[in-house]
Amino acid sequence: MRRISLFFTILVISQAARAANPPQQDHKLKEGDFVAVCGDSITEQKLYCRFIEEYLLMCRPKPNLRTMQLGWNGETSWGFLSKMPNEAMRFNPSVVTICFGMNDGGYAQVVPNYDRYRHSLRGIVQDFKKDGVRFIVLGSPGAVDSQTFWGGPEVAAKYNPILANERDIAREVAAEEGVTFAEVHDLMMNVMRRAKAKYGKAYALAGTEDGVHPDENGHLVMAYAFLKALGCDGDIGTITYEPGANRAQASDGHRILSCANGTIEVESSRYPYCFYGDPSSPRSPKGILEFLPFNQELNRFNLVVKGATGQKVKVTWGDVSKEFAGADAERGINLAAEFMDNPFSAQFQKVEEAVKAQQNFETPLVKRLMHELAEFEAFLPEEKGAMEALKTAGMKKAHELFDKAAGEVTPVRHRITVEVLPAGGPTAAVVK
Amino acid sequence: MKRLIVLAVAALVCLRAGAQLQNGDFVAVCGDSITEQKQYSVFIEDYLLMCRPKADLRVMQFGWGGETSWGFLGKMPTQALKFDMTVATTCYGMNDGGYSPMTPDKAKHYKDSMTAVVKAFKKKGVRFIVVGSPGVVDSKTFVRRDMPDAAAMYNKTLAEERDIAKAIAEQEGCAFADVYDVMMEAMVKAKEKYGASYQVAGGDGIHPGANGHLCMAYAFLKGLGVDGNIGTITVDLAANKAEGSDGQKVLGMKDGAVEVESSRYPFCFTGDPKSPNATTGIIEFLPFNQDLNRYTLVVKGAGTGKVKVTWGDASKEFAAADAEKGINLAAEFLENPFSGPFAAVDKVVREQQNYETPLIKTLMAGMGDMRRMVPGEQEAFGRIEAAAIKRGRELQDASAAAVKPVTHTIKVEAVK
Repeated sequence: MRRISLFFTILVISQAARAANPPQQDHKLKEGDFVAVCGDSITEQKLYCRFIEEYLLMCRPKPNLRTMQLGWNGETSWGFLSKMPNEAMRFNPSVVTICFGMNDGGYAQVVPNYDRYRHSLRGIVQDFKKDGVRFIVLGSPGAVDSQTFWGGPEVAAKYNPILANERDIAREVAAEEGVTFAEVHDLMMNVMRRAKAKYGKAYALAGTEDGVHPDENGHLVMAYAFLKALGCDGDIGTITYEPGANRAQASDGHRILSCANGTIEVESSRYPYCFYGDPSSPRSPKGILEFLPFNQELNRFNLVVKGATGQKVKVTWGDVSKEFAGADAERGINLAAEFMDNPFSAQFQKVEEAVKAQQNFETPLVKRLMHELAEFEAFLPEEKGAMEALKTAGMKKAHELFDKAAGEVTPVRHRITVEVLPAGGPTAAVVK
Repeated sequence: MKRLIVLAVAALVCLRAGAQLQNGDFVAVCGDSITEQKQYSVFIEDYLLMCRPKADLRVMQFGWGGETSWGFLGKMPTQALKFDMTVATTCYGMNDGGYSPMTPDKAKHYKDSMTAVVKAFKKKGVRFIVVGSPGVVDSKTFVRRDMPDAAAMYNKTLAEERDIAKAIAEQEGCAFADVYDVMMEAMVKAKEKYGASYQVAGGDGIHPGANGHLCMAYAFLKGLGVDGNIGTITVDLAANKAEGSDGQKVLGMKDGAVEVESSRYPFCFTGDPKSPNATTGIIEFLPFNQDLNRYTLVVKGAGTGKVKVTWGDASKEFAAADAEKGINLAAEFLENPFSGPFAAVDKVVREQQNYETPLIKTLMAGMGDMRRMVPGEQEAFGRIEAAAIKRGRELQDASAAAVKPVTHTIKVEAVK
């Protein structure tokens, strides 16, 4: 109990100090940042927020980043504004992402109250600033699926323009308040159109079930939008191999353990982002990668083979081999894009399980311990102390679950074998 | 085996024999969102506290939006059964029917679940169980897209559930509350008077206004076996003498004016009779006053003419012969000296029942999850749970304490 009290006291003091001196808004992540991902039921699905956390933990744009999700089904900007002091700021985030609008627009069943949306977004941003949040990313809402939306295609055609109007409002509020804007809506619309052109109308991007809650594919689009807005540069690492000198170099986060006969052994503490599943299924993010520059802009794990121009290069990574034009290899091959199943995949999934456990805990933590118990404080003021102890214990447990997830991100040892082949010979696999 | 049969018969006899309210009973009113509306449950509590068929009664509502009999059954161990009720009323079926025609599977699910609910209450030691049928949907306001006869269709489903509930009550030796028939009959008659758009089952056709809830309260209070005798004041004009029954103490009489101190109130009605949110408009289609709310003035020695009765600010004349048989003041004087005190108690009761919803739905329902989340904090959870239940009890006590004796004057004059 004493440890819990100390933990709580430190939090309170830290919050009070920050509230007194709100920092200047920043537009990039810093080492040790704590990112709170706030939103409605789409956030509570714990997919795009999990992808964000996985990226921040494993791809590690900055060290020691922590993420938590504060998704609440059915939530609106005005609902969140009224809950925020208790639910979000108790956790003391330094960075927040905000994604409301899907419920605010009323699903084309009522006249949208745009003024209320604008006023609430502004209130949320201002409150977060006042509470000392250093970096705020205000996201637009996403999109509803043009085909699978529960209201049918005609209502979807009416509702997406409403969501687009909300996008404009969110952008305007972000500009007025000097915070970063994440464009989720246009990106989802664009990817949806192109994905349906390839896979057919029935391929849902905004949810197979109801056209509102995306599967993994749509959530990757959302994660992309927020990670871009968080300023992630996408450089996961570069391994540079010089066949003539039988020498290899690695960028920060990767250590060359050995290099002999074209086989480079590397120990990586930064992972490329990994993808799973059947590309034709909305349950897999793989199928939309060709319509989203995720790998190009956020997931560059490059192999550069010096002096390969004019020849061919065969690369073996894990169990898979592929051949590339030498000139391409000299410019750099993005291993993350070319080798979806790779030596990081297994460990990535292990971390993912720990992140799932953490984020699954966060929903009842926020909704039950932080919110519902708070409602009861008014009825049982004499038990406020016991309730605070429970909240603090819950927050501590959430931190432990995060630590466990972060602890799973252990360095991965892997081998990249490079064979330089004469140009013009037969190719064994896809040539870029 | 013979001994088992004897025990079973004895248990049944005990249950039937005990099937009435007793002093000090704690009544749990269980149901779905219609119960969570906290209207018929408030009316029941108002009645049990103020009309006081037995002393020291306590009521708590366990309404839960969207609930079914099987949903309630699953929640019972961690919620309702944590309380020490001696009497329970149940009202499930509206959601159980799925708002669609009855099917054999649905009927079986309802029957099995309701039977299990009754058995769980018995196992807990609940002495008196009133199995209620569901109510009705409104013939005008219950509408479904692409289904012109939705109300007729669904009332048929609800009627089948009524029959199932009745059979369970009989089979399990419980009392039965026929909510469906009471509401249906009142709805048909009320719509004849006020027009089809006068809702008895609410604007959505499911959740009644105060009028429909009074029908429900009537059905359950009848199921609870209350006799409806609130009190009798007997005035002998010739002898200039008056006396009151139990709960009605005559303080004095002068020139036909009888001063009474009443610890039992008549049930009071409110609102514009034409509004579904009033209880005054429905009582002519419901024998509430006749069966449950007899607060009778008997006038002796008034001759053969008429008597004028003044109670509070209102006066009315009656044939002396009728007055000698007894005038039901509760029915004749809807606005009366109890109206103010009744409303004051009703307000306290509503505060109490408003607390009971988050107590059950938030705290008791969430407690299991929360305990699992931070298993090292069992002591704090235990304290909070105990304090929350205690607070509920305090609010119930506050409701009971709000019922204070009312002193009022009934003036009786022979009209010449």
